[in-house]
Formats: sequence, structure tokens, C-alpha cells
Amino acid sequence: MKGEDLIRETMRRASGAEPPVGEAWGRFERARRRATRARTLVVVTAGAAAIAALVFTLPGVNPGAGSEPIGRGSESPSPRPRDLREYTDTFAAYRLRYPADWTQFTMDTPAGRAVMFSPDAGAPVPSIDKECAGCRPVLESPVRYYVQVRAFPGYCGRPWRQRWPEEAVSGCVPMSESVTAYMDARRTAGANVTAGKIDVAGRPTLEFVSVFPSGPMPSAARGIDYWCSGCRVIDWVFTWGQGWVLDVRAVAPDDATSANYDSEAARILASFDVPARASTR
Amino acid sequence: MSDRETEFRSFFDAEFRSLRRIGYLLTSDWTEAEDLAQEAMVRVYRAWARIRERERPAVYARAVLVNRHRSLLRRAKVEAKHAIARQPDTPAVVEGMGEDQIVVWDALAALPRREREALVLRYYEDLPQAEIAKVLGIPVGTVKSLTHRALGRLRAVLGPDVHVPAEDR
Repeated sequence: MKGEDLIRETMRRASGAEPPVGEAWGRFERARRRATRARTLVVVTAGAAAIAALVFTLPGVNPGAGSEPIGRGSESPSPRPRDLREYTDTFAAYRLRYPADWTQFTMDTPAGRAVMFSPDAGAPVPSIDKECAGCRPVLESPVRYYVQVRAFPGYCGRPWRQRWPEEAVSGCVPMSESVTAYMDARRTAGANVTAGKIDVAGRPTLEFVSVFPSGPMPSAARGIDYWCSGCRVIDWVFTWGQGWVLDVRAVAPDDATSANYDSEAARILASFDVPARASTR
Repeated sequence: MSDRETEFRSFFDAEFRSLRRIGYLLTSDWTEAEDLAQEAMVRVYRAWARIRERERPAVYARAVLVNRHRSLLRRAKVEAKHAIARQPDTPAVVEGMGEDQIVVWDALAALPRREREALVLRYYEDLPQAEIAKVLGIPVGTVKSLTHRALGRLRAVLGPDVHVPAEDR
């Protein structure tokens, strides 16, 4: 037999011994619905974390910059000892005392509720560069934001790997009641923001790292969209260990300005139907 | 059912089995093949409005499937590193295969990922090199060299009695 025919025949025979297709369309329909819900949840999570990042790291929107921060509610409850609530997470190894040290934001979505915690009093606040009046140095240390997503009852999350044919029998796999994620956000040192324009001479990269202990996998690195409209994603890496990690690096375009960020923040807030200056519920 | 749904359903019925078979030839595992085909179909569905007129949905679906396969391999590598799960090293023997075919099947499974993809698309799907290049997202010249190298490896395994095509470079 000619080698070419042997290869063809081998492949034909191997693929011919397939199990029955069965209810493939039904499985597809369920997978499609789950994927839609999971994407919604992940995008909301990334958006929530990014809004927190926008509030605290972007020029003109952080406390002390002279204008009201976008997304920070004026009706935030004042810290009182009797109001303290503690959140603990063994995986992320954090313990939050709200509202003592952290600001809480809440968003309700069709899939569930996202609660994010952003560093408040205890977080490093970027200081004004003394050698350049008006310049605002970028953060060199990553700032960590926590997002806790609580799914509504009946919400089903997709496991990282769809099992066949068990899934067809058992239906969707219930997602754990809540998913906690944290994000380390930073702009790489070396990029300065001056008078509302980002100096991109050094081709600053934006780093966006999300760590989820469990839950749905993002199908795309959407989070970066919330950082910077027009930024080009140059790399993303999934890492599986104790949880999974999505690490995205992106490059800012030459014409990136802080206005891009501001308008992006406004757009995101609008998409969540949250008043721009009173988002805390 | 809307026109879009009807159109996509026809596409699904026509292509799903074929996608699943390609998935199996790439992974040697029907469960993974089913996953790959389903995921590829979900992505095609999302992009249906965009691709149905401007691109060939069947080619797009194959490209998605191959990309997902790469992601799975990357993930499997990480998992192996963390010792969470182990993938079988050799494919299951398929019933009814002759001795030569078992040797070829094992040799295919041992090929590097890109070479295996190129051979499956070339000899199972009978795609021309230009389309293989489109599906794999690489230049036609690279397709030629991948196929050439893969056939060389098969030739080394099968020995001189079986004539393996040299494939034009």
C-alpha cells in the first residue's frame, strides 16, 4: 500500500470508530447558554475590578486630585466599629475589615452580584512628583483589588473542562456559591502621565493579573478593554495551580491619553446603569 | 426558529461530526474531541453574523478547533507541571486496524503538535495547502515544511518497504 493511502486509511479507520453523536445539538444549546452566562460573569468581575483600579490610579479620578472620583459614592457609610464586617478567604489569604480599611462597591447583574473591595485608607496613594509639578507618577507597586462574585440561586457555572457524556446526564454543574478573585493592577514603571497625556516613549505596558481560585474560565482577555480603549494585548497566559491565573500584558497606543481612560470609565459605568458619581449602593 | 438559527442548525448538522473526528485525530480522545467540537461550535455561533458571508464558516470552525486544541495542550503542560492530572501518553488501539495502521497511528500520535495538525488537515480533510495555512494561521511555506518533516518522521518509523510521499516543498 502506498504510504499516502496508508495514512489516509489509518485516519479514516481511527475516526470511523466513533461513539454515537447522540444529542449533540442539545449539548450545544446547553454549552452555549452556559458560555454566555460565564462570559457575563467574568466580564462583570473584570469590569468591577477595573473600575476600582480606575478610581484609584488614574489621573483626575483619584482622591485628592481636585475632582470627585468616578465610581466612588458620596453616601459611603462612615466607619463605625459596630458596622465592621470581616471577610476572609483562605486561598487569597486576605482578611478585610469593611468599612474600616476598604471601600465596598456592589453591582447586581443578571447572573449574580459582584462585590468589590478597593484599598482605601490603608492603600498607598500615589504622591505628586516633586520634580515635576503636575506630573503624576505611575504606581510602581501593584495595587490589589478583591472582587467577590456571588451567583444567584440556580446559576450554573461551566467547569473548566466539559465532561462527555456524563454532563448530558447530570445537567450543568452547580457553581460554588461565591467566587472570590483578586487582581493586581499596575502600570509599568517608567511611564509618566503629564497634563492628561501618557508619555509612551518607553512603550509602557499595562499589566493585569486576575487570580481566581475556582469558577468559570474567561474566554478572552476582556479585562484589558476596561483599562484602556485601543490598547493592544500582546500576551496573555493562563496558569493552573491552586487556582487559575489570567495574566494579561498590553501595550498602550501612541495616542493613548487619560481622556481615553476617563471616557472608558464613564462608558463602563453607563453600561452598568450606575450613576457616574454615586455608584455605591 | 429565526433564519439565523435555522442556518446555523444546518451548518451544525453538516459539520459537527467532521469537527469531532478532526478533534479525535488531534487528541486521540473522543471526550476531548467532543469538547473541542462543542467549543468550536459555540464560538462559530457567536461569530455567525460576521463569518457567514465574509468567510467560510467551515474553515473558520476548523481554525477555532485547532486553536482550542493548542490551548488544551498548553493547559495540560501546566497541569503536568503541577501534577494535577496526567494525560495518557499513547492513544488507544483502534479495533480493526492492521499492523501497519497501528504503527502509523502511534507515529501520528508521537508527532509534534503542528506537524500532526498539518497531516490531519492534509490527508484526512484533503485541504489544499493554502487552506491549511489559513486554518493554522501560518504561511504556506511553513505548511510545506511541516508536512515534509512529518512525512520524514513517518518514513523513518515505517521503514523502506512502505513508500511515504515526499511532498513537494
